[in-house]
Amino acid sequence: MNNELILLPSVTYAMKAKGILDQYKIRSYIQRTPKNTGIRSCGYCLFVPGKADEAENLLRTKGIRVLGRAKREEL
Amino acid sequence: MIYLDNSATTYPKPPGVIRAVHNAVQNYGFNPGRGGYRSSLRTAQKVYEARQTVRAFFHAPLVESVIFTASCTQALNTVVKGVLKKGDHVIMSSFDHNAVARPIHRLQQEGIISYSIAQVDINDDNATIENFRQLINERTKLIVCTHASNVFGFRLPAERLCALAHSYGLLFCLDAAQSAGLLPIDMQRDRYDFVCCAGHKYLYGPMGIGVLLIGNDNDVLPLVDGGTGSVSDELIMPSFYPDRLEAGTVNISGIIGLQAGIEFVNRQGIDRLYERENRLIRSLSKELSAFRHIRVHGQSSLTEHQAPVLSFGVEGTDSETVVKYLSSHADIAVRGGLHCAPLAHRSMNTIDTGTVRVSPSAFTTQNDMRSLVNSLRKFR
Repeated sequence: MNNELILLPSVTYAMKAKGILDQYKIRSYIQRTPKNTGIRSCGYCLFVPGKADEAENLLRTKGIRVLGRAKREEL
Repeated sequence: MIYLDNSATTYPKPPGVIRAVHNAVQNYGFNPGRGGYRSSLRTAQKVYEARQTVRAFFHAPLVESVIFTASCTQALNTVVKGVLKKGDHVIMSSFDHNAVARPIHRLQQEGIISYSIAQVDINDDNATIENFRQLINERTKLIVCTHASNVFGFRLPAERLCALAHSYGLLFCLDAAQSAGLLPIDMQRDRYDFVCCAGHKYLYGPMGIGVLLIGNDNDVLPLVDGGTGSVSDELIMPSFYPDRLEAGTVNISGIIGLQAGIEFVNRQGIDRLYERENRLIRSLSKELSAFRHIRVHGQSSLTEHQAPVLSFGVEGTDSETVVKYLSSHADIAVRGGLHCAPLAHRSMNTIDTGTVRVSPSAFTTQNDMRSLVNSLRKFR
């Protein structure tokens, strides 16, 4: 699976985005934006296993500012 | 103690608020929006839930437009200093608190802005609206006014003033320090641009927490710059709310306590709280008006124009002397002086003596008021 992380500007947006996805029964997990994303600044992202494309479209439709997508690195 | 100074801060706090603050200190002592570990995220979740509670209570358009501040004063300063630019003109009311008047006056003294003060007619909203309208000029950018006078309880026609501001393309800021939790505020219905609230008054939260609600797309410059946990590689503040206006670590126990306070107000019912406290004030006003040595100041003849606050004076005595007497003889806590609102006192010709202010809360009883009346009966 690629680019399962949806990058967001702040923890408030991450919470709001997760709340929206919860309403649509799409599982997601908030985490800090990892360093491999090309984004140097601090931030938060949503890990959306298997449904990141759908989730991103949904969030954009709902007016959530999405900064981009990134691949999740296994720990 | 019989505590009747709730316009300064409500006391006691509901048990749920005390529990929430305790819980916050004990279990949510982690920095939200900074770390990725579980406790930080749990704390961030609590802050987000509090934002949702505030958003729903005021019908704010977006959860991210709920800004937590240290006080209502800080929220008002953020609007005044973050919106007004060189050459702008602002109008405030003749009943505004120093939290509004001082930052505006300072900007004027520094040659940045100009301002006008609109006279409020306590029994005639049409006259008040007209007074504001006549002060609008081509440089006017903002109308800011109190929702209810913290001294006399007069309620200003905020919804109509907001509509007036918008009809001239101006922004409108509501100082809801005394009204939030007592008078319904609906940001979406009334299209307020900014609403500033104290968390520790009639929202029953702890001290040290306030709220700024933003209802438009205008850029507000930050009052304080600093770390936000977002876009940290840049030396400028984020462009998005709430981060743009929330530099530094937020007041977690204040926020969680405020949420519990709002839940208390919701359970009690805002209309019920208002009616109950207004009934206490009406009854007190009637009793005090019967005393020849007491003058009740400016209770509006229209009940709907009044928030539950009463000011009075005792003939031949300054307000602080009365306050001292009530405290030492009956352990009754009321506030004397000018209540940080000299404009209001000038409007009511009480600037020299000040007034004694009585303000009940959800926990005030008829017996409390009776004790006050009995003590004042003896005072000469």
